[in-house]
Amino acid sequence: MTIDQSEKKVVGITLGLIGLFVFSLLYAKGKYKTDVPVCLPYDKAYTEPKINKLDEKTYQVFSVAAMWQFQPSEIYIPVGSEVDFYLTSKDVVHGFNIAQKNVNMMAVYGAINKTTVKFDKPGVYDIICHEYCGIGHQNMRAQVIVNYPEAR
Amino acid sequence: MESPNEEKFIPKGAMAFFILLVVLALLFWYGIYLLMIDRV
Repeated sequence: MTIDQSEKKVVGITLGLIGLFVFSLLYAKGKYKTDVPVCLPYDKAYTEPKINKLDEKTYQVFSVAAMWQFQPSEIYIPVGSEVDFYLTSKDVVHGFNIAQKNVNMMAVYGAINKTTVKFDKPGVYDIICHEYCGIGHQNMRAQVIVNYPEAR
Repeated sequence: MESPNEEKFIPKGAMAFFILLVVLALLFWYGIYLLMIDRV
């Protein structure tokens, strides 16, 4: 089998690009310590919405999505806080998106998804449902308010 | 039999289009990549 010189070039460019993309992803993962959400074993304790303050800069949020709201709907934390979000749903599949912090999770009934986010800038971060979940989907939102009341 | 014109044919337009597509793909891909890194 003979491969034309031009075909070899195109294959080379394609492999080079794939290599470049993979390298960039691994570089970002190493340098910025980015991580993906994890799925935890189901535990009923996570189905009660609450905010646990572990210390001055560390919080746990048990976020429960249901048609059509997130509980807790307002989360007040100081600047520099690290928040562990534990997410589940009471009914259908909902989305959990904090666009400003790259958070993108699904709230699934019977499953617990967890991610950790550090909020190092003051402001109001919107949490929105980005998985269509019914007639009230577009109103389903919550807020993380960092450095209250200065952020308002 | 091929004419001498066909032998020398180089698809310059197709090559330019291919390179343009690669450049655009890089632009979009790294645009989103840098945006997401900025939000970390």
